[in-house]
Amino acid sequence: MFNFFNYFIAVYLIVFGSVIFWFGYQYILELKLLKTQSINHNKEMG
Amino acid sequence: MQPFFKNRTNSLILFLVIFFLFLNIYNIIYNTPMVPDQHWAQKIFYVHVPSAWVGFLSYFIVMIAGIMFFIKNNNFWDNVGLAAAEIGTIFISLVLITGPIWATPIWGKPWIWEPRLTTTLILFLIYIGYFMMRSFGGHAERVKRYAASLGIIAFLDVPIIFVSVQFWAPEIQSHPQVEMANQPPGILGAFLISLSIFTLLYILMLKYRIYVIQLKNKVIHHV
Repeated sequence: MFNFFNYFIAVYLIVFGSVIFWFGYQYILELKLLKTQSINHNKEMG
Repeated sequence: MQPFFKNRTNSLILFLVIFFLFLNIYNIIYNTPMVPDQHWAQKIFYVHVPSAWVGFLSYFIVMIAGIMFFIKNNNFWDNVGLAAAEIGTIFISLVLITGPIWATPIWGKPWIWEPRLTTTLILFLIYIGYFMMRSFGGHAERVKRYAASLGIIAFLDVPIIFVSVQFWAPEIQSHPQVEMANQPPGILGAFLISLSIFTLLYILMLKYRIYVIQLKNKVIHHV
């Protein structure tokens, strides 16, 4: 029984861990892109 | 473009997804019946099958986006296709990882070359090819057309995966062939709840990824 429980925990950690990691990665990417966009905009404005 | 979660609808969907995911895990742990031979291992099914559903749904959207790209010749549909292909591949990877974790205690070995597993692996490899083609395919406009075509063709593998359990001889099948309708009510209800929550999660992920791709294109084309 304990063994089966380990497999269950492993699956839930992998699935939800991947989803959280994905959101974190997208969020960092978004922040970087917004920063670049703001720098470009400021350059244009002089 | 304003930050994605500054939009009230997006932040509301995020809140709902987090709330329902916790509720779903609680429901799976405390309210679903233990299946005699599998115990906790059976509860893997509540995330494994919805992950597969989301993966296939995502590839269906890649196909629709491909068709729409050819009809409208609009970059938006190329972005939708790319976003859906990425998220679909993440979920199919999760299916290919969690499946063997379930199979190890139940079948005694993580992988068997039986029809459903093999056709799912083929689908995953087709999409690895899809991303390689997107990266090394040459001219950007040509790559978009190739990607749309490949997205349409690749979806042909999905119905094959679904019928593979009936299509090939039962001797070479190791997959559970029990119909969902024959499952005890506690299992079916929790499974459908999990399926709905994963679909909501998928909608949020797709919206977010499309937004990030559009933002990236905007920044790249500006430089």
